[in-house]
Amino acid sequence: MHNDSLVVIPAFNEGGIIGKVLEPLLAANLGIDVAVINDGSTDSTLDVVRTFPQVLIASHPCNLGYGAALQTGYQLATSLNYEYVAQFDADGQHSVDDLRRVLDAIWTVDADVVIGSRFLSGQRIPLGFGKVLAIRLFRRFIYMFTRNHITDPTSGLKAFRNVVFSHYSKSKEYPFDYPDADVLIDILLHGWRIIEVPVGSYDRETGISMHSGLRPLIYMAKVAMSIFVVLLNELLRKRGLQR
Amino acid sequence: MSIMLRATIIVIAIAFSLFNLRLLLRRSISERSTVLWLFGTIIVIIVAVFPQLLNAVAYTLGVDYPPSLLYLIAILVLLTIVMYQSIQLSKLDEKIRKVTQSVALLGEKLDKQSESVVLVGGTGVEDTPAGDSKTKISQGSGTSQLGEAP
Repeated sequence: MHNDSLVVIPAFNEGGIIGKVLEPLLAANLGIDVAVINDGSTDSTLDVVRTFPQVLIASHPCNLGYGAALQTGYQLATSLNYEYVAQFDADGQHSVDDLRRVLDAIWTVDADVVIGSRFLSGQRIPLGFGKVLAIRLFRRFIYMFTRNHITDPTSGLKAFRNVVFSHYSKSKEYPFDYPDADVLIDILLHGWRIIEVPVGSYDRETGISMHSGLRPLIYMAKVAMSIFVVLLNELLRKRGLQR
Repeated sequence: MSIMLRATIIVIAIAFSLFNLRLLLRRSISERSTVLWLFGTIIVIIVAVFPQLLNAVAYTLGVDYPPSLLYLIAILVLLTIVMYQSIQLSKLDEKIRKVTQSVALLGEKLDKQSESVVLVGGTGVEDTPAGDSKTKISQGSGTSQLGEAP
């Protein structure tokens, strides 16, 4: 049993699928607690989740975005003194087996963060050109600034130890709209260890679509800006100048 | 600058100030924002009343055509105000996020509490707290989390 672990599922207008995500998750009997963070959904998401009495629900009155929903999950886990947090997407792209693999790793391996990587299973994953470009770029950034190889910086399936998620539960420490390579660089610069475990291929792309005009460019610029802020903060921290 | 132009600028500036004041009286704008806008208006009025000031500054800065300095001043005033508003918006974003997250976490606590009340009422047992791990929610260990200092 691992009731020291909480799975956080941020959900925004996933009423059509969240029931099918929760059912196998609860049926798998992983012995972990499940929390759904409803991010101001305007559809039936909340009603569907309420039909699962064992699921913890934290509900944003208005939509704040993926990053903020995750942070609410970290805050919930921190206030309830959980040891481990896994984050799982509500759109059905992760399987329970993948979650089990990530959790097993965080429970047994000496790492502070575990990422479920789509690129370690040897399968070829069909991804759009923009997405591939972004992932390559972010990998390179991570290696450039931390000398760590992370194969899947955009993966939504991750697990954290208490020391990491309780740090990011503080408002000022988690200014990430859409956590990506920036938060990974921040984690590594804090000296926390990240390992990756292979997970199966996904049906649907994570996060925003990389095929919609200027959005991918703006998104990449935003992440690059965020990485810059992370690096600058690290520099200031080293010199003892911060706050 | 011709008298006509100066008069027009002054009339517009005064009308703008009055409009601002009206917004303030209706509580449609905060005192802080009004101060900022009035400050900008005062600069414009000063320039309109004492155009020789503009000429002198233009001469000192090496600007050949003094009215173009007017544009520079106007742009700088607007830039300051827009920048200030950008900062305010970011702060508001942050505040809304904090409030929303607090509400979400409090709602979760409330859910659990009303659940255990139902449990207690239903079984007729009044002094036994529900024994599962979730009762730690109602014991207030999380309140410090919600009351985080800015």
